[in-house]
Amino acid sequence: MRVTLATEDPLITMQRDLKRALENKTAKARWVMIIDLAKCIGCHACTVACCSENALPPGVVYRPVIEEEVGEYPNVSRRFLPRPCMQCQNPPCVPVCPVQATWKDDEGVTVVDYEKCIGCRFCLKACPYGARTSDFGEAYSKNTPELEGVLLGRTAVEKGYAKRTAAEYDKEWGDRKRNSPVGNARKCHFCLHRVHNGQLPSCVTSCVGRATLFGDLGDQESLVHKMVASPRVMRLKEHLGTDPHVYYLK
Amino acid sequence: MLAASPKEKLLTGLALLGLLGGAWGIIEALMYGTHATGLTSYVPWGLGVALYLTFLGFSAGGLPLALATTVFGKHEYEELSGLVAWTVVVTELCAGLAIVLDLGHMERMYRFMTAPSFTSPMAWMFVFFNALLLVYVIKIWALLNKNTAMAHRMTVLSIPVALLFYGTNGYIFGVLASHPVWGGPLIPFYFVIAALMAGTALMCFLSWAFGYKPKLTMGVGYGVLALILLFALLEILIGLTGFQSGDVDTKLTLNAILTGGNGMVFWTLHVGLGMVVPVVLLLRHTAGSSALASFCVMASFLATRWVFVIPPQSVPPLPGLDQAFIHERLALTYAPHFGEWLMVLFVFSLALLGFVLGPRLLPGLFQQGGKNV
Repeated sequence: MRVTLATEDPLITMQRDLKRALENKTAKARWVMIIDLAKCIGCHACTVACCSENALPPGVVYRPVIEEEVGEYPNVSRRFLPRPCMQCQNPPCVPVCPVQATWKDDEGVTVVDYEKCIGCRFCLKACPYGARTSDFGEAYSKNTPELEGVLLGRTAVEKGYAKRTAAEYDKEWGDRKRNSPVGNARKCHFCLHRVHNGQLPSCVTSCVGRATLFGDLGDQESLVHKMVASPRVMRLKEHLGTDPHVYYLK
Repeated sequence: MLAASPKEKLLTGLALLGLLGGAWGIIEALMYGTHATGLTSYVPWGLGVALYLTFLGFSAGGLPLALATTVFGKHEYEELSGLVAWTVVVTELCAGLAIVLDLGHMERMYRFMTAPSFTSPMAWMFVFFNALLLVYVIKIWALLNKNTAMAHRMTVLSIPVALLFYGTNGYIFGVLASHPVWGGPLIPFYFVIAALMAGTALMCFLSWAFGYKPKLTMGVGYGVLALILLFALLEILIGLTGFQSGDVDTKLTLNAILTGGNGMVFWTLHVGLGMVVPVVLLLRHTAGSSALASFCVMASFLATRWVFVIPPQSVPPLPGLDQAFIHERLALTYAPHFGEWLMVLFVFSLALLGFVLGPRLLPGLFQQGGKNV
């Protein structure tokens, strides 16, 4: 029997949980995320890691961290609320899509088919959490002067961002120009391309405070299964009946 | 073919000038898509949607006239049938152009036919948009071929199709249950009334412009008056229930509509020019004042759509979300780019050209010719 030390890094535990979930051929995983607000220090490392992992262009963000100042001077403090896609059980963004370009997959993650999306942005308005953004085709290389023969300049910037391929949905997306995902709705997908390869989502691995937990809720041995029973658990806008798969610990 | 009158030449010239001036807006939309707009992820519906809804409203004039002639037995209005049919087709095509150019990937429009999702109000909008267009194209064909039985059948059929079409457009906003002001069962009804008001106003103005009997223009004008009052009542009810509900986001949204820059648009263009002035003019009981009143409703209708579409999006779905990651595409404010205004100019010019050329292309539809045009 494996002995788990109380001081084991949650990343190690979650990595083991993930391996077990992927090896389980009898049941599909039900991915959930738990964010411990008491541990979040507002460093935005998860936001940056997500932007880097998914090669997000300017103006597209999957996991911003909302900051809030509470109290009155001199008794003030700050609260941080990371906001990924809630991967709702009843996602309001799915039924409004007129062309079946978005759906909830069998692992409980709401996904978008970039090659089917017509860019009507109805799903952006339907999401009660503002978790979808539109890719308007912005580029980091905009207004960057060309500096020939050096490492800086437009070519270098384009190599790093504009022409860099995002690995989303296990697919190569190629040069942006006006091709998808430009013109599409985009959203957090729990880094499924990483998860399927045995890696935790980038926001989880980059969290310095270990405030973000991830795993299969169906696995009773998993860390998330244990944590979701905490009396500190709450979810955003529960009254809407969306049944989010992202839990917060108050 | 009749020689063009100086007024006709002037209007044709203006329309062509507008098309030429506004062409860049279309080219920009085709070349750069939504990149050329001032839209953001938190205000993803802007001037393109407002323009679509404006022409959608203009196309609704057929519904009250179909009701008047078939349900209420006011057969004198059948004289306007050809004009109505032409108006519906022209304005629907303009509305279609506005909304197609607003898509991020307009080349995938075919998916509305190959993979429609009927849980989406937008898929139904596509169905009823085309159904209404088809009904009125057939009606035009029937009128030109003196097939009165077919024309009558199309008039009857247009009533449920139009009600479903305009209701469906309201349904698009109504299903956004978590969105303050937009979500709710009243909005589809609000949309039908708004569309009827604008469509009837356009018919009133055109009946005067094309020189139909003053009695007809005044009769349609009374309809405009009733619809303005009903629309105002609905807006008051939405405002009062919103303010008294205690919901913070709804109050913030209503304040965004009624105050600040959008408040100026609401009070001066929508309420002043679009409601108060027309009501005063309509109470003068002349054909000319009815036409002028209707023109005021039409001229301010883009503002009416603007205050419904844009300001409600300025309230974040989660407090502080707009400050969490700063970028112009993640802002709660929206200012249309110049190209978007040029697109507005193009679409309005296209409609003007359609109305000027209508009597020349299909003289059989316009019984009395363009006297006041």
